[in-house]
Amino acid sequence: MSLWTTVRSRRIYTISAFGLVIIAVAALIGVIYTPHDPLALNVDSRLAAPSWSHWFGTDQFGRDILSRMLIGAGVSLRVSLMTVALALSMGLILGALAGYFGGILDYIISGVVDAFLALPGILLALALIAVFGVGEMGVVVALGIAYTPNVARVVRGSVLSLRPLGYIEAARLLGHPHLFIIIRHIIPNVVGPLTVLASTFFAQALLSESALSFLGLGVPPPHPSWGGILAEGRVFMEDAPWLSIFPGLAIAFSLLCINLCGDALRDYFDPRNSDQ
Amino acid sequence: MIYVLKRLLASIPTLLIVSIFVFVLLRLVPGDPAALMIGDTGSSADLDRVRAEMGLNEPLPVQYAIWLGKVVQGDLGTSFMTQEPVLSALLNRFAVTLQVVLIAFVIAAMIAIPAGVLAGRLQNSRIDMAIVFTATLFLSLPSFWVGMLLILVFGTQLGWLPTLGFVPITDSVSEWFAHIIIPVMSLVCVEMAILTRLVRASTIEVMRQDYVTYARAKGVSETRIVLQHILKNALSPTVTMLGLILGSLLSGTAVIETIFGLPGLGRFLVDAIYARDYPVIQGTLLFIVVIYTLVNLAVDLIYPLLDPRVRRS
Repeated sequence: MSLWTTVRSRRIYTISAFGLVIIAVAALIGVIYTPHDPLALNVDSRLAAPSWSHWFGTDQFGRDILSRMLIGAGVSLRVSLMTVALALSMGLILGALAGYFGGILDYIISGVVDAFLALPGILLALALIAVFGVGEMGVVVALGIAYTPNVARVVRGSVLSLRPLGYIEAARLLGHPHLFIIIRHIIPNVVGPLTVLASTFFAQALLSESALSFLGLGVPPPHPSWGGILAEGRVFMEDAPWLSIFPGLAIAFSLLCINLCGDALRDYFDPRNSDQ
Repeated sequence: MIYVLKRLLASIPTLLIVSIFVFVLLRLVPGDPAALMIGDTGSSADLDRVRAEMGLNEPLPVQYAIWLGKVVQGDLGTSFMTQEPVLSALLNRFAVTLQVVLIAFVIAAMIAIPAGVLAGRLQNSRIDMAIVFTATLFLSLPSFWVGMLLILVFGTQLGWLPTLGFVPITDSVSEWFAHIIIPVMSLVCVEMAILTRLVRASTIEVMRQDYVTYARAKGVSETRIVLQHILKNALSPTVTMLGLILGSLLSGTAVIETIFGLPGLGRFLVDAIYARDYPVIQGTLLFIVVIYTLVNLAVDLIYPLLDPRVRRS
């Protein structure tokens, strides 16, 4: 069964996949075109309610919320994607080394990985941000490092279960170098669990990025991010509820689509646990 | 008893590695660690004293040993935001966080366990799909946004509840309740979602077991199968996850506490990061890791009581 068939098998998966495409397109549109300048101050239209010229209203500086949210979509997706890419590559390397070579190397890597698993992800991220400072790259590095131990553990587990299999041994007897065996024979087999894990971390990274930006520890103002717009709008919640509603809806909608697509991936890669 | 000791010993390397990380973290900050430790307010005499205390003229491993020795004795330094000892400040903050988290957790479990078992038993039915979708929906709502909306509705629009601050239960029970109810509800939304999905998954797993089929074949009533066979066995894997959830919940309340002005642990850490209050940052990190390790240890110890199969091995 192909991935496409799994996505098509349930209407809810199809809708969520379509939703993700919409978010990605919105982020792309934000890069090329925004209805208004997302950073331009306009004193004449402060805290304006949603209207034809400002679909989602304006904030306390008269900046157009829709424009800011389009840019924010790009920021959120970029940060989340880079975080997942960083965590996957570091976790893949560490997990493969530990699982493939075993011995003292495994002992050290697993020890450190287990210790870091005792630190909740967002906490580790906060600690790293405390040292390396705020900003888009700060969030990526902090969250990326925070999710790495989980990836490393999953990869190590998969590699350990693959090692004793005949074809790995055969490859070694043929004299293939370790790196070749890892890339050619090991990695393709961990793609399934990793993809499922990646979808989970993608959602978590998006949520954490908006939470950190909300706390003022993520993407710094005046640059728009969904969490940041929410935080700025908090003070004006009573007079301008649209500042608190639209960015929150965007975060929730994105997370819902990612989580549902994650369920679809789980059904596809792990049919034993699927609901069919 | 030996099992308990073994488990306790097993958590020591973890704590040591984390302590090295926390120690090194502070050394990675550009600048003089002693100047960082006393903040902007200290004099040059303070600086010399702290330099000597931290052993900054010694090699790095010696500095670590000095620091660890103090930490083990409960000396986490002094906060330069509040000038109080970090440990006692942490304990005060922790008490607030614990109240909110535990209440939210109990409420979430009371909703999630019946919902999860029901969904699992009626797998692929309309009811199951509705429950799973609701859980996924709630999972996708950022708790801070839910908190903001609840403030908007119950605080500012209806004016029923205060929107900010915390009142200790010893001062006034009704005021305490009014202040924590919205933060608790925001946490319940997310926790409920995670738990429901977990309970559902373990229920489905248990339902496939032969003993359930056997019990049904024997003519045991459905209610008894659910209560005695399914619920009991589905809950034990969930308990292991409870430890993880509770641990991350304890630290993940930072945003909630900031929105609602609750003087809890998470907000303490965030404030310390803003203020570059390094003794507090170090102390909070260590404290949460110790709590987290203890919670997971407790889970490991409770687990064999629930599942005799683990006890034997």
